[in-house]
Amino acid sequence: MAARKSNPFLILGGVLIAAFLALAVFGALFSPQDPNAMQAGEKLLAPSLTHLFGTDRFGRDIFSRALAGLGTTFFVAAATVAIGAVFGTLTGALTGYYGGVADAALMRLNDTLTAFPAVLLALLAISLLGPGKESSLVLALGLVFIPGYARLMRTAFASPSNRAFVLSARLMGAKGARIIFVQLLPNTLPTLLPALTIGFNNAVLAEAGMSFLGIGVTPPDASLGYMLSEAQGMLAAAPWYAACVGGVIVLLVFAVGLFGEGLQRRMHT
Amino acid sequence: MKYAAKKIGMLVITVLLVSFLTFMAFQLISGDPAETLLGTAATPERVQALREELGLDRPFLVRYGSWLLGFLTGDLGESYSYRQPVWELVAPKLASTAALTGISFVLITLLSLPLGVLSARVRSNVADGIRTAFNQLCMALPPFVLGVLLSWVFGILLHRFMPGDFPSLTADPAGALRYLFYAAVCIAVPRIAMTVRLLRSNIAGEMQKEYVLAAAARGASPTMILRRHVLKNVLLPTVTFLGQTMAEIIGAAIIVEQVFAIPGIGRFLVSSVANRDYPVVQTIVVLLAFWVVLTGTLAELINHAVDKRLG
Amino acid sequence: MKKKILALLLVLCLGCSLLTACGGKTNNGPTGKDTPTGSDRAAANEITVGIAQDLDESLDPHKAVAAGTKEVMFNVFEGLVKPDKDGNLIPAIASEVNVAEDGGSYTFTLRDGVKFHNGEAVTMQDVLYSINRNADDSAGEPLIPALSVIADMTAEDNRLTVTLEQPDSDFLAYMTLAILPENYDKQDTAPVGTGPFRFVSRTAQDSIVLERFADYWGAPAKLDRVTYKVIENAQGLLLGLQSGALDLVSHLGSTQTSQLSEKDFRIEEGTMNLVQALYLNNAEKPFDDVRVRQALCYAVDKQAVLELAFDGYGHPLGSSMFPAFGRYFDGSLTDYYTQDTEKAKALLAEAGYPDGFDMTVTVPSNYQPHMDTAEVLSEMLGAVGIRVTILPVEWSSWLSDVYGGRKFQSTVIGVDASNLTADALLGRFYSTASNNFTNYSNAEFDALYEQAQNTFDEDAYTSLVLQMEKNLTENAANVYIQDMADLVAVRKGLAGLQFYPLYVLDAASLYWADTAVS
Repeated sequence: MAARKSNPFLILGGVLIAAFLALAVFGALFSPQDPNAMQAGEKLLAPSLTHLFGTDRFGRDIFSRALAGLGTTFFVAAATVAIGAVFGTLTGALTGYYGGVADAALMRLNDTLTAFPAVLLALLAISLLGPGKESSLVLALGLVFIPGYARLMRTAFASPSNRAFVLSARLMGAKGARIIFVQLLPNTLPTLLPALTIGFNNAVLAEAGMSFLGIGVTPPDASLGYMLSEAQGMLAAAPWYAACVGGVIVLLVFAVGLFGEGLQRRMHT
Repeated sequence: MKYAAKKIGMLVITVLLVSFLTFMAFQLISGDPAETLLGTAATPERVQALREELGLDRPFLVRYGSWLLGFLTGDLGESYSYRQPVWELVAPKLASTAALTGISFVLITLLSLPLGVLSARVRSNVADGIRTAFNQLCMALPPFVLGVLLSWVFGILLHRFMPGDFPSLTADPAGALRYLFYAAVCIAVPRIAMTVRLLRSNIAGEMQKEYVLAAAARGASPTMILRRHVLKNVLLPTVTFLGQTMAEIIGAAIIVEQVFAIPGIGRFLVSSVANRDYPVVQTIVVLLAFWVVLTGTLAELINHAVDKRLG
Repeated sequence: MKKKILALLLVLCLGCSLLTACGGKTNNGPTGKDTPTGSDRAAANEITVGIAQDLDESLDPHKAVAAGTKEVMFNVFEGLVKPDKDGNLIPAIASEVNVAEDGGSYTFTLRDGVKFHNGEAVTMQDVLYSINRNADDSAGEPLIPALSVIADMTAEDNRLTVTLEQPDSDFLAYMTLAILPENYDKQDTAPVGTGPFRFVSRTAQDSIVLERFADYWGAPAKLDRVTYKVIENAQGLLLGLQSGALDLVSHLGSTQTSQLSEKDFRIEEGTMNLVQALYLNNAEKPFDDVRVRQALCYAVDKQAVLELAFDGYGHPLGSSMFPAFGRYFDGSLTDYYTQDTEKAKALLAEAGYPDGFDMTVTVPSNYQPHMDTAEVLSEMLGAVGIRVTILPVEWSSWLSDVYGGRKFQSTVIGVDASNLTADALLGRFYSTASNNFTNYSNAEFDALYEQAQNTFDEDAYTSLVLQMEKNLTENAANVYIQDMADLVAVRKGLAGLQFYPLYVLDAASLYWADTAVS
């Protein structure tokens, strides 16, 4: 097959992610302009050489803000997925592998979390953890993400092919934890990896949705999702705002998706 | 049958747990129904009087108990804000949201399954690249952006529907469904992209397995292999994923209802939380929880059935 | 295979458009037409108004508190007197009001033939019931505490004489309280009043419908029907206007109005009649130090806030009073502090904060104008070394933590006046007032306030009010910003919009110009 030797997905995705990370770091260190500096005379300007992405309704440079927001979005999405995936995989592994009481209890908890409307859960968590903090947002979103991963991983761990694995591993005298992490986890990667990149995508969307409802990042800090929710209110007045920020989001998610796709293909070959 | 009974028992426990946790969560966060209702006209005396009127001066467990008792006997209580029976307020909104999510789910299932299978069979790098790019684009579109775009194009430029004027489901069902269709598209597009992607990668993974290679070696055509073996195996995670999708589109509905000004349950939940209108919040949360757990249970039951047949 | 995929995508796109196209064809409603403007409603002599807040409380006018509810229900209820667009009180259910020379008693003559929306005639019994309901202090505080000034009420034929314990120039303003039928117990959900419009229905989170009251005593409303559509989302309101679903939306931002085409809409500008400020918790460090508060005032350029966040709309303010109050408003206080970064830094250093400090601004996140102001302020305060963190909170958290609990450092909010008395704005700065959420405590202010309570001479009272305002400015009680502009988008053809000095929308004066019904 074509993808067997060179893996363009992995390379392109990796290069793009590296570029985004570099931009985020670069943006934090040498922002072309102060991302928070307001200019009354420069409101809603169209893109130009001084303002690559134009300016927003406070006359701030959208490009500089997008650079700053890129870092925030990257961090929020990655941390959210990390929380969701780590706790979700643990839960999935324990319940899928052991079954029995642990399964019943954990899955009940998991179902309860799932059954909470995500927005309500996030809203309550942010109220409890304290508004105006990025960590509250990440924890709240992470909490929302756990049950989905748990359910998915439970199915993966309990899949028929894994059952055969477990049986043979047991016959060879392996212990639970070892079987889970050494034997089964690699087997579940084809399920986990795409779920991770989809999760990253979902986290970016979820953060944008929270910003839309007014419970996302706190201004004047920006995230790409926050900027996009701001831009949708002036689609007719400043279409480039939504287009530029939307473009960055699409590229970012695209890069992560490509990378995930590449990883997965490599595993299959 | 015993399996199903056990599942239903769990369903009830989960819903009860959710209702209790919701009740408790509102004890912990700031904001009080009486203070919210009185707004800036609040004085300590008036707040106290209103709290007594609403029964908020009773201990937490007593209030939960009386709510639960009422709920079990079919009395959902009266909204603090609207002073109307909760069911009277919630029922019409439930219908709108059910229709909205129903259309979304049909769109997702009908479009993503064939697209997923088809895209798994693509071998050409260029087509694959285009597909991946298009897929990513669809996945990265937040529903509110898509919502504004669709409203703009189909509502204002093409006059296909009138954003801001949602027809009543009972008076003009055709008009209402048409209106809901655009909102449903916003919910469905990213989900279709995700499902396609999941299906594609699962099928691709399965196609690498030994039994497939063996079948291919025996001379079975790829279509045969796909139909006979692979689809059955990728069905499990797909059903799980769709079940989860059914639960998750409720979350997207909350935002889409705002953009399209659809009087639905999601929008009502957000405003009732903001007002601390506990009787309404409790009812909606229980309804949603029931729904989510039900879809999850159904997905599991289907998995179970398929599993048994395979196993 | 490549072609197949592309073909499939094409089919998909076609399918979508086909589905919608079919939908369009089967449609007979107004949505299928080429110009879905308000023309259908003009022909039917009705309008649809977009409102951002639902009327999610009791509709009983004596119990309702939200400004948004009063804005709509203004058209349904009336008092013995009611405000006109210039802020004067004009006779309503009373046809005549006579004030005794010493100001100690008021005589109201009930108008003949005033009917409630349920068809019953308004009686003296109903009037007494309505006033007593608001003055009743048996359950603690009465609904309108100021009514405790009533010493006695005597009814004789159609004349009601109210004797006061002491003259009170504000008394008549309280007689705008709604007159309700005595034996009617559904005011909460199906209110009945005497106004030009009668209440038809409320669908939670969706709409409120009013209809012209045929038996209205005065000049009848020109429109037959007014539907208020609830759309919380600003972009949704904008789309509703553009699609033709809405004819009128108040309280829009300049970003939104600039996106409406001039062909279809007229933008009218009024004022919101409120005092938007960075309200400081005067009891909380470091804002217990007047120098710090003054430093904040010097750090802020009000005009620049208006330019940055409001496209220059709005009226800058310097104290807790806005221009609609006429003689009580002292415009010279607006420029008492002009932006002076050096002075601000010097004052901070003097107060012991040479390197500035960290502060939080708690803002109800559902109020975009206040969020925007906070964002601009955080930038300006940053220039003098004050590091601002904005805490967006829910409205109910704001009410219980900031307004009720006074657990905050600072907040951006607009404070309005519940009626046209100076007390409605200044009373909350009296040190022991129950609504003194900024914990302002100033002996001189308290003395002025007490003196004003016992002053019945109009000129002397006005002078005291002006001194109180000045006191707030000099002591930098808060960082005053502006009275926000009220931008109203009105569909072309719809005329008669009137701005009141109160937060109301008078629907009775609106009419479609080309199909005017008189």
